[in-house]
Amino acid sequence: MITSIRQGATLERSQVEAQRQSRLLVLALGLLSILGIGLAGYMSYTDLLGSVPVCGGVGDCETVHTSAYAYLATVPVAVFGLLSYMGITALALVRWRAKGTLGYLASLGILVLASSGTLFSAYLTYVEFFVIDAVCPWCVASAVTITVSLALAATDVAAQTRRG
Amino acid sequence: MTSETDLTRSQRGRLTLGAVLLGILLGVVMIAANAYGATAGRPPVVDGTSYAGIPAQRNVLGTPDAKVEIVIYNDFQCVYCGKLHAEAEAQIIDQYVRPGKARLEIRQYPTYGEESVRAAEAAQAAADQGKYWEYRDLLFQNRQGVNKGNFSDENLVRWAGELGLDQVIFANSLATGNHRAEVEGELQEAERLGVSSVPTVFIDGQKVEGAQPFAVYQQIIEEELAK
Repeated sequence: MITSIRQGATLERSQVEAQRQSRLLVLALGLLSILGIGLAGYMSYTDLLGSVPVCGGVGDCETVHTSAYAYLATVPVAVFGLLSYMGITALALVRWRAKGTLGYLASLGILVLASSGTLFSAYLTYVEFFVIDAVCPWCVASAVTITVSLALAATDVAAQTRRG
Repeated sequence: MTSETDLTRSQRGRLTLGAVLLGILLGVVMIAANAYGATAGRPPVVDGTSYAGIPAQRNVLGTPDAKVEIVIYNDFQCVYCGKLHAEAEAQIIDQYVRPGKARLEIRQYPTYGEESVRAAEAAQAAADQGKYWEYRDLLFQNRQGVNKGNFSDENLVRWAGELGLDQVIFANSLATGNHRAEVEGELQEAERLGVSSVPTVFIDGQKVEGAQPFAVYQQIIEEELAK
């Protein structure tokens, strides 16, 4: 009887700990996505106005943001980044508030956006370094942000998948 | 609220795998679309026929008695000059210069650095051999970065060779700098006219800054033609 109670208490403690870690992870994801909105939002704003982000002497923003690779079907790629980060923020909010299947599906949504974003960012970073030979620090910062977001999203989904 | 046990572990595993695959698929589609757009969007390689049938006198394209005069100040290292060249300028040539309604003159405002000046001199050296416009196309197509050695004398001479120009005469012109005074003169003239950035376009004296959409230039040209 006593053993059973102890086991129950231990299980409850581990669940509380897992829940705490999960919330920290989602909080970090939300904060990262807000950072991403700032980065991609600034680049989208300048691209849509027909100017270029200020590099402050670091890198070559003009070459990067006016190259043909800066667009996807005439829309600046930064706009797609902005939309992705906004989607991640919204889904992180859902994940924060909802438990169970809804929370899990929100995590999957974040995983989809973060993995496609990371893949595309990796490609764009390759293009910067090896094709157009110019680097935009804002783009690199965004690439790092989305990659870390993917790592967090994968951890979150893995934990929920294991729990079943 | 939905309970935690709605989905089994294996169902979640399959959904997770599906999400990963969907993410990868979306990423690959975006990469393919971007790579295709970047490649297809590049200006066509000069084939020597772009200006066929249009009278050209060095850096002036079109009939001398055309009603409207258009002057473009550019720098071959300027990205927006390349954008203007590839987009609105091409339409201006097709719709107004080719039919004899306007003539287009290119002047240099090489403020991006030494390679801009060398490229401007090289364009004039190409004009000496009757290929100013084709050479200018090549310069914009080969623009990469600013003062990174792309417009080296070696490259400038090589591109002249690709157009069938006499490379010895061309290289000699660059080496002696016999067009430097002309380029510097255009720079001073631009400053006198109030040019402070490139590209700057003058349509019968009306100044338009930046690489604007064709419609902006079209409206002014039409107004000038209607006078």
